[in-house]
Amino acid sequence: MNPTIQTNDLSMRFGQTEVLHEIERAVPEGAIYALVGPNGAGKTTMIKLLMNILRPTAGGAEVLGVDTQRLAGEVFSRIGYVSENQEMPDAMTVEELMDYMRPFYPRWDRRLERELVRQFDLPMKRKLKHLSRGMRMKAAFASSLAYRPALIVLDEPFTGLDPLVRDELIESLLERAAETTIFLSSHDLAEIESFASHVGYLEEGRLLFSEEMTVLDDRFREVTITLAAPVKLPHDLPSAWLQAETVDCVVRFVHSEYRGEASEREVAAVFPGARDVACEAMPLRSIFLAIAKTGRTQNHAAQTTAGDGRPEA
Amino acid sequence: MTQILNIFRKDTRRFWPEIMLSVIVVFAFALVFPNEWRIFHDRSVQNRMSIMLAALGILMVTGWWLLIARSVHAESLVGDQQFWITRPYEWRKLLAAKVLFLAAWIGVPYLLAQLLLLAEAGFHPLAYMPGLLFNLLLVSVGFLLPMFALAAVTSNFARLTMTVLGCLILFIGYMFLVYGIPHSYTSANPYTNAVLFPLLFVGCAAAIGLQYAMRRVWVSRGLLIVVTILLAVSVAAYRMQSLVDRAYPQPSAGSTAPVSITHIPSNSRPDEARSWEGEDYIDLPVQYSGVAEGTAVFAEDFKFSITAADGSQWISPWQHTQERNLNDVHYSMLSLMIRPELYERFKRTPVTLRITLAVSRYQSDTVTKMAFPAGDVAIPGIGFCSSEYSNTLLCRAVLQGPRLTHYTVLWSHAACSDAQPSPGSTVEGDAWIEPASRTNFVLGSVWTLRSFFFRDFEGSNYAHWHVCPGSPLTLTQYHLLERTQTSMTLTNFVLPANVVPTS
Repeated sequence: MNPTIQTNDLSMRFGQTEVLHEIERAVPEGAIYALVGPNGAGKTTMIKLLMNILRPTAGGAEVLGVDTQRLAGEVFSRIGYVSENQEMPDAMTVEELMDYMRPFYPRWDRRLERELVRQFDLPMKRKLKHLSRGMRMKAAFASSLAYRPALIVLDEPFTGLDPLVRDELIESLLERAAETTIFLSSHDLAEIESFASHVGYLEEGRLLFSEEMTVLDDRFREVTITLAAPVKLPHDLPSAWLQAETVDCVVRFVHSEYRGEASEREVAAVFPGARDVACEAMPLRSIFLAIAKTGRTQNHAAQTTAGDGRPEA
Repeated sequence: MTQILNIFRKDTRRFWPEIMLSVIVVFAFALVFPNEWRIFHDRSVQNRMSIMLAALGILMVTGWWLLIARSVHAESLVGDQQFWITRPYEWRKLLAAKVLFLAAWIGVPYLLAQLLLLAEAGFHPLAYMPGLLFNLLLVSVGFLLPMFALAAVTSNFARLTMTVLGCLILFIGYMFLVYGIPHSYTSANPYTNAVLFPLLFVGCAAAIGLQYAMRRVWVSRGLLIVVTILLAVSVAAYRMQSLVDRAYPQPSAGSTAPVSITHIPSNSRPDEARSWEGEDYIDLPVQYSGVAEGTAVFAEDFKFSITAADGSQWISPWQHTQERNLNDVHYSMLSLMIRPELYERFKRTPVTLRITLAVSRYQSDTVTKMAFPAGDVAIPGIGFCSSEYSNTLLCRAVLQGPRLTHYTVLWSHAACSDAQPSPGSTVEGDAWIEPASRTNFVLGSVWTLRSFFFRDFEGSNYAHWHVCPGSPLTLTQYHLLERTQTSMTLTNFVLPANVVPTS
């Protein structure tokens, strides 16, 4: 099965600043792919590259089998794109928007349109500029879902929305998940955790990982080791152990390559006097925090080393 | 087609107030325009009408600017957050929809208004359709297309306005610069628009096409900047002296001069020199004569060379003549402009002064004799004419005006009711109408031409003379025969010793 989105060393520079660095990733058909990362990580840039709003400085990507740099016209009748920053035709009423958009899409489903309008409780006679932010987002969703797109691309769609609206939008997405691929960027880890099937983590333009949520859940564990007596953390801890710290007789870290008993044996080898080892599954938010903090610590260390003129450790 | 009409309908629905405003102004312009050829006995009313027409002309152009901006910016081509760029728009259809919008709400109303104007002026509107369409093409290339291109590379009306103002300031600065260049040429040149309009069309169309196809804003802006530079170069090149020499070649050996120039200083009209605004001027009294029967000669520009006894020489750039009409034997004054330091250098010894005129020679072809009209009368080759203030023939023509035309008429100081005017009570007066440039577009399709009949009454009170309806009127139309040069050489010419300062 061909991936719906495929990037090949996708890179983007704005002047001297590298915003995306050789992103290599495939989003399978039917996936709900959440691209997460801190502010300025390059999420919006990546989405704009995928939508041919920007052109990459190196590498490339394909969306629905089409080179993104050729993405125009008819292909967009199979793509639904909603962005928090998108300008809308504000002078139109919701009804005018739907009437205007309908002829553009051969597969526009009027029944689905009515259903979405009812579901979102959209005021048809009101101009978009007079709608609240939540309502505008709902109108954008309705006008992007009514033609049953094969791919839905959402750039920070839930930012600034109240929980009720957020739930309504997620619900509408999930109702269509069986017939489409969804690619979204978000800061809202808690929300995407509930419905994303795949997740990618972008930091400073680099995709640190990208995998299925189930694999990620299995891979990360918060490990708490209780020792008989306080010890100093060894310098040569395995690289997969993130954010290691010790308080009195307790050592904690995040295991990023957890493999059940094999990992527990590895712990026992490093801490032979351990009285208790607890390995607990982690929420997505904790996983990202651990990754983000580790990344920043490493960057800081690298910069400090470079600044000192000493070789990197 | 569905997409084109869908976008067109959307724009029309959204911008109907702007459309209404623009269409109303266009038709108001057409409504007020006929006052140009109406006869007002109160000059102040006529002046008010002229001001109103000028204001409506400005409003009309502003309305078009607004419509272009609103329609193009509705699907802005600049930025990365526009709603439409991730929708299934096809760029060709989007561009076609915008062109359709401008054609429907600028082109068609303008064309209809022009047809109404022609009908109001007494012309059969459909007979001039090709000319009207060509004029619309020139209006489109000269104004609508550049405005469209600027709208395509700006994101909103405010930025477009700033860009247009910036372009205007640059243009004014450039013209000051160009006019300040010594040896530059300012008179009409037959080559001008041959470059200007095609360059504007190709450059703007390419920038628009590129922008709609690829939305490469900086590439399109760069292209427009290059076009602007090329236009500036073409304007500068058009002013090159060599083009004048090319357009007005020297006559072949043995050919008859189209007009003779004779230097005729006298006690009452001596050679004089004066200074004005940092330049010196040598005023030479001259006489023009010898224009062959059936031809007419007009001076376009002149230049002169001064050669000293020691062989040193200075050739002036082409300069503008104050008097263009060289027909009939008459006296005139040629003012030769020269830098003061050169004047000082050459005034010490007698010099050889050679004056060369660039002239256009016309041949008469059609002569129409008729009675001076009491009311409105059709004149073949011109249009419709009537008399105004008893000393002016007021004619209206379509689009580009008539060819070079010479009118002669009899003035009278007897009462028009006299069946047999006494001998000596009538004298001949005449007027010339020169052809307008063929490549300039006009906002109003009807040209109004006022021919003030000239006659030197030698002290007699001008107000006592008038042209009576029914008196013989002769119109002679001419076509261009050639452009050439004609010269006069003065040997042992002594520049006036004193240069009189003038303010």
